[in-house]
Amino acid sequence: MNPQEIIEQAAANWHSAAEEVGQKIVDLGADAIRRLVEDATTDGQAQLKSSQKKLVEWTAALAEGTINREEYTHLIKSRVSLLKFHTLTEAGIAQARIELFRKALINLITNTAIKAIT
Amino acid sequence: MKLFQKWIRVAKAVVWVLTLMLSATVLSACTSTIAGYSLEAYTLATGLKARSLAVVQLSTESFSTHAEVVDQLLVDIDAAYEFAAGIPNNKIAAEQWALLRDPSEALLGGYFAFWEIEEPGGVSEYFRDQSKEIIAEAFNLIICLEVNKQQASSCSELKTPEGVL
Repeated sequence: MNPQEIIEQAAANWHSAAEEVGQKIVDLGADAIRRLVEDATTDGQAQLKSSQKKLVEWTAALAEGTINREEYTHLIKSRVSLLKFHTLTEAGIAQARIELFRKALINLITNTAIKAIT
Repeated sequence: MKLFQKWIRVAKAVVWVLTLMLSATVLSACTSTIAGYSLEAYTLATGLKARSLAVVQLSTESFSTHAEVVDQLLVDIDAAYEFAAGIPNNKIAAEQWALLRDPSEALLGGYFAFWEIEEPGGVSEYFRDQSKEIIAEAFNLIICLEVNKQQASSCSELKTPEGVL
């Protein structure tokens, strides 16, 4: 290959690298958001279902005298505390996913640049 | 003219390289949104989960008999909070420990406060078992957040040596 062909080849490589990076960033971002929304929705639905089920169980236990009123009240409070815990965790997981996305972007850009040069 | 077009393509390629390098540099320079995964934090959470549930199991008996064990456990929970709070960008994990130990909430700290003040002679078995499930779930969420710092994982799919979270 003469120098001119090498330069042309390099330019072509960079052009395809640009397209590849663009597409992969879109894929990475879409996947991260999709998983986050899916997990948060699943968790929220599971929490709602589980809270309803527990409320019925605890009310029956109170009626049967298995637990007293103080224990019943504490269990209800604990469910509320647990919901706060879930909300806090979801916020943390969202931050963690953003961080993983950032790291994936750095890797993608660095690897694409290296691949295009070599 | 042809040569000029080729040089334009080369110039575009050079701009591309610079853009990529700049993007990577800017992204690397951005402050992390959250602390990285810590094996120590994970081990601390799984160990304290097992110990906490073992102490809760004793709560059908008199509080005074186990007061020392409860105190020691709460000191270790405090230490876990301090450990989490000492890691930069780890605010949410620290808040989780704070919520868990808070006696005014109804999780671990609140449970022991209830046992000591409301029912010092011992709680009912049903209440203990239901509370154990809730406390275990709170610990699982601490573990789940830590795992998610390393790899995106759904909390319901996570497994520990003790089984599914």
